[in-house]
This record gives sequence, C-alpha cells and structure tokens, in this order.
Amino acid sequence: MDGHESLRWDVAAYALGVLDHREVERYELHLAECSACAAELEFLLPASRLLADVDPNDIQSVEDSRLVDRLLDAVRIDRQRARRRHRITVGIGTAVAAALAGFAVLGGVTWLDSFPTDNVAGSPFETVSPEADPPDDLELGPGEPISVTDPDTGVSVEALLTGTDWGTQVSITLSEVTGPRECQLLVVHRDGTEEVVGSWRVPATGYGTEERPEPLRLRLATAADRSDIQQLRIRELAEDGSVSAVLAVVPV
Amino acid sequence: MRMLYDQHANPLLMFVLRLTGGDRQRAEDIVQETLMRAWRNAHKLGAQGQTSIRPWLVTVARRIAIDNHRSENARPTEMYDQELDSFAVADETDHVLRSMTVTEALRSLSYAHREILLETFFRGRTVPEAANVLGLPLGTAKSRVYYALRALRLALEQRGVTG
Repeated sequence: MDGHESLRWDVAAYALGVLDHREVERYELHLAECSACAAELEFLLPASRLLADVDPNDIQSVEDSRLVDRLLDAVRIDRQRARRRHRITVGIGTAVAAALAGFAVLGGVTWLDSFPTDNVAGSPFETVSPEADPPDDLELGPGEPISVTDPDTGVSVEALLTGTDWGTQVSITLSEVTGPRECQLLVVHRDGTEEVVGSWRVPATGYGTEERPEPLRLRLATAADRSDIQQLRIRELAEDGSVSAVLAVVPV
Repeated sequence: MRMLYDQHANPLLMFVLRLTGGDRQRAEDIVQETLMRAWRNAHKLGAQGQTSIRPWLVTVARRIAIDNHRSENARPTEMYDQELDSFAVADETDHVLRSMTVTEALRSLSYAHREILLETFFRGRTVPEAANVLGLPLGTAKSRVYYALRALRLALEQRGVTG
C-alpha cells in the first residue's frame, strides 16, 4: 500500500480540522507531494468552511425528533403486544385499561437526553434543549427519587413515581448501562401482575459510561395507581424479543 | 497577524519548502504572501475558531507556489483575492440564507454521514475519538468522514452554494 492509498481518506478530516493533531504535519508533508490529494482538498474545503455557518442545534433537532419517533414506535409495538397478552389472559376489562395505559405512554414518553451535552468548553451543544413534548422540568421532578444499583449488572437506576389523575408518571434515569442492547421497563403491581410501560435501545456507547457520561432519562406512564405499584423492573430483550435478563429491580 | 504568524508560519514553511524544492528564500516569500492574504481575508474566513484555517493556508500557499512557478508575478494580486472568495465566506448579508441552505444540505445526507460530521466537526472530536464514541473501526470512521464531506460538497453544489 503506497502513501497515497493509506492517507487517501485523511483529506476530509484535515479539511474539517479533526485530524488527530499528531498526524497533521505528517499529512501536510504528504500534501506537498501528492497533487491528487491537494486537488481533493481544494474541492472539499468550501464545504468544510460553510459547515462552520451551521448552527448545530438545527441539525440536533432533526436527530432528536428521529430518536423520539423511533422510541415511540418501539413503545407502540410493545403496547400492542402487551395488549394482546392481557386480552387473552385477563379479559376485556383489563384490555381497556391497558389500551388507556398505552395511550398515556404514547403521550408521555419523552426522549430527554439523546445526545451528550458535556464536551468541550464552549460547545454549542450546551444550549441544546429537547424540542419534542416539552416537559416542565428535565430532572426527575419533585418528590423523593429511589436509587438502586444492581449488584450483579452494575446498572444504576434512579426512579421517581408521581401519582396523577390519570395514573402514575414514572421517570427513570439510567447509568452504568452498556450497549448495544434493547431494554424494557416493567411495572409490577401489588397483585403480582406485570405491565410493560416502555422499551428503548442502548447504543454501543452505553449511557452513564466513560464513553458517554450522560445518563439516559426517560419518562413513562402507567394507568396504575401510585399505591398499586410494588416494583419497577428493567430487563433486557434478546433479538427475538424474548426476555434475556433482568438488569435492575427497583422496589417501591 | 502576530497570532497567525506564531501559529502557522513554521509548519507552513515546512510545507512550502517541499514545494519549492528546498529554496528557502522563495518559500519564505510564499509564506509571507499567504499569511498576508489570510490576514486581509480574516473577516471573511470567519473567526469562529471552530475550524483551523491551516487547510486554507496550505491550499493558498500551494496555489501561489504553482502560479509563481508558471510565471513570475504575471498576475495582479487582486486576482488571488477574488479566487479566495470561493474559499471564504462571501457576504455577510446573505449569511442567514446561506446557513439555512447549508443546514438543508446537511439534512439531505444519510444518518450515518450526519452522525459522523456531528461527532467530529461539531463536537470538536478527532476521528479516532469519534470512532471510539460511535464504536466504529478507525478505518471505517476515516472513510465515512471522507464520504460524508464529499456528499455534503455535492449537496451544496446542487444547491448552488459553492463556487
């Protein structure tokens, strides 16, 4: 492999100013000698300069709404499954309740933290705010959150349950969770029945990890009364949709 | 100007020396000319500090070197400045419009391409850092950055933004 082949891709990173700084001078030596790469740089440079004009928040909002869509789709599918199960086992009364709960979930889930906001000082991302379904507060809200770290999986959960007229709002903050994997949140009622109130994916970077320090914050809903909830359970779904492991249990 | 000089004169000289085959006097002239142009165009280049102007300097220095080589001082200097406008930000008045067009062009890219540009350019991460965050092999991240920027360049061209 000659110099040009191995360095071919670096022209874009160089134009964007994101080439590893140790490689910049090495790359410039190559540029001085390779007119093909120098011409490519001239071609790409206007695009990289114009990029500086873009407010990343504009792009950000697109990504956010995409993620919200995906999350809502996952929840919808999940609710349909859950509804079918309920209908078979418990009968029509519960099915109506589950359908109502489903409606509440669709209205209530918000992806609160789809992209890290830490980063470099002065990062434009510091001002990013999620635009979908503005909740009144980004934190868990008033009340006493319950914190649990699972001794086996290391997954850390902070949960807050808020009783409302329509049921219970369940806000969770997840960290120390690695990916990629798909998860579900279950509400376990006092009578032992279970209800899936949402599902989501954890990307390869995880949440609340070294690579992605921000936790995942989700807000979900159930028609169940606050006093009727005994436990929250976060579990992992295998690719075929079967339950593969419990990641954390939060006693209420 | 002092800052420009301190930051870029030396690496730029190393670069130009190669173009001039080691002719130090000529190389220094070219570096001086390049930095003068950069300084005159500083307001157009946008001082966001987000993008290093080094790639721009290198490109301009190379052009000057090539033109010098072809014919000594055959072209009036204003010609350069006109050409440089295609690299620089042309006019403040249509800044908003252009920014909207560029945003639109960015949105037309695939998710993977937008994602890699977000992780590198907008987050200020190097390619290896972004590869790490996205869980990509370094080679994949490198080629993705390349194809993403190319796709953006073409999307901008379609919208008549770049000259």
